[in-house]
Amino acid sequence: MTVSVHGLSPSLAAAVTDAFQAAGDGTGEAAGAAVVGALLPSGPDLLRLEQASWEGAIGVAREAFFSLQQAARSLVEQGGGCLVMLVPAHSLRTSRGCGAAAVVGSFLTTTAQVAAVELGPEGVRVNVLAVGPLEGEVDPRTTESIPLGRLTREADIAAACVMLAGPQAGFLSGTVIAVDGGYAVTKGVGGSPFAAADA
Amino acid sequence: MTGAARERGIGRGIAQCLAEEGCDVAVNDVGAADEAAGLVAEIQALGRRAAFFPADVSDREAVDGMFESVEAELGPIDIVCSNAGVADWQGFLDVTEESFDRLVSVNLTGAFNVCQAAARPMVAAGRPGKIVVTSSVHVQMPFGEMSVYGATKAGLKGMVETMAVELAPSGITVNHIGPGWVRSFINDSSPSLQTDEEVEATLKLIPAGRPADPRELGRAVVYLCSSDGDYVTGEYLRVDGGFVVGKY
Repeated sequence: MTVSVHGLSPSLAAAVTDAFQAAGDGTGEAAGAAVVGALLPSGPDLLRLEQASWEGAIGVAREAFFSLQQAARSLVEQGGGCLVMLVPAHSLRTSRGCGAAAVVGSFLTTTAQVAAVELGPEGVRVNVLAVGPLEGEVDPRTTESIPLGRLTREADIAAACVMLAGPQAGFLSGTVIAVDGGYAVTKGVGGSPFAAADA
Repeated sequence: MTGAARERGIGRGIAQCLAEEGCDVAVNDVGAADEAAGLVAEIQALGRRAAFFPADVSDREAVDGMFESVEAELGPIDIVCSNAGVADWQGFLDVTEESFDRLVSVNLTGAFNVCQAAARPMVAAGRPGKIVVTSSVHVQMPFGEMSVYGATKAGLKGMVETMAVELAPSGITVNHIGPGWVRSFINDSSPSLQTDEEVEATLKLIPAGRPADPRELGRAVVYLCSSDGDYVTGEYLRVDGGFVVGKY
């Protein structure tokens, strides 16, 4: 089982690659897998977002789109495989300051779903992981709005990627799985756990 | 009202309905000056003020300049409808960078430009307002051959929902409408709608058995922009004859 990674931070790329190596042939899928990431951090409100920052976010989406396309071409040539798109969970539950992440996450979710529709007959499965706020990247107070009581770790993402590439997920395509400890189904004030504190 | 000029277009239907309800209308489009002139004349015949403000929504400077002209000519803006859009049909593996950039710059960055440029003065002046974005049934229904178009429309959902949360304290509502099939200019080049048989097959997918009239989208926008819609924000209002029901 080979995995290629695109658009991931060095540490996340290592975590994903290591997890696939540890799973070895246990992942069961002969062809291969690719993981494409576009995990934008939160930023200013959309009204205050500078044009350059918007263009930067669009650039991330663009790179992820064409990375997914390139990986898909390669898997089609190999006769099939598994594609995983990593997007911010703000595509499922937005909040103040998460506009660019919500836009890019939603954009790439639909991209992956259309790819799933088109590439299913080629033996390529395409799924989305909606990744919750990451440990080390967000205010630790975010933990208060996560039912499982901690932030998302790289190991959580890596494990979900391996699962999606494996035989247990062999009939999953076009789906969105939140790897977020339940963040997307919580209801902070105004959608943001800090809305009251920072007001 | 961006993307408003084309006959048979959704934007035109929205502009007509808002004018009938008493709105003065700034008609925007990137071209189609003749068709825009016809719409302006129609609106003026209703006793409302209207003028054509051509601009490419993907060009931020042009958008900022357009809003300055609109405000100078018609006064402060209360309602903004971001409707301009373009489409392409390409398999995912064949999407070109040129097509990607064209669709994203108009459909997504164009909407961001328009909504941000319109909302900033509303917030600065403490004036309530209404923002309505034209998205699509693609927001919830992935169509093959239309990955970029569908992705831009899904991106609009993320933008609308976030703006709704961020702008609610300023008294601004932000919603999007989801048109199903409209026999508009944008759909004329759809490869699956070129023959009578193909049109018939598409109609069979729509429980209502017919395409939407642009004015039906217009009436939905009137609802969202009237006091009836004051407590509706971050919402997605599908007007599609049941197209997606039972499918997605």
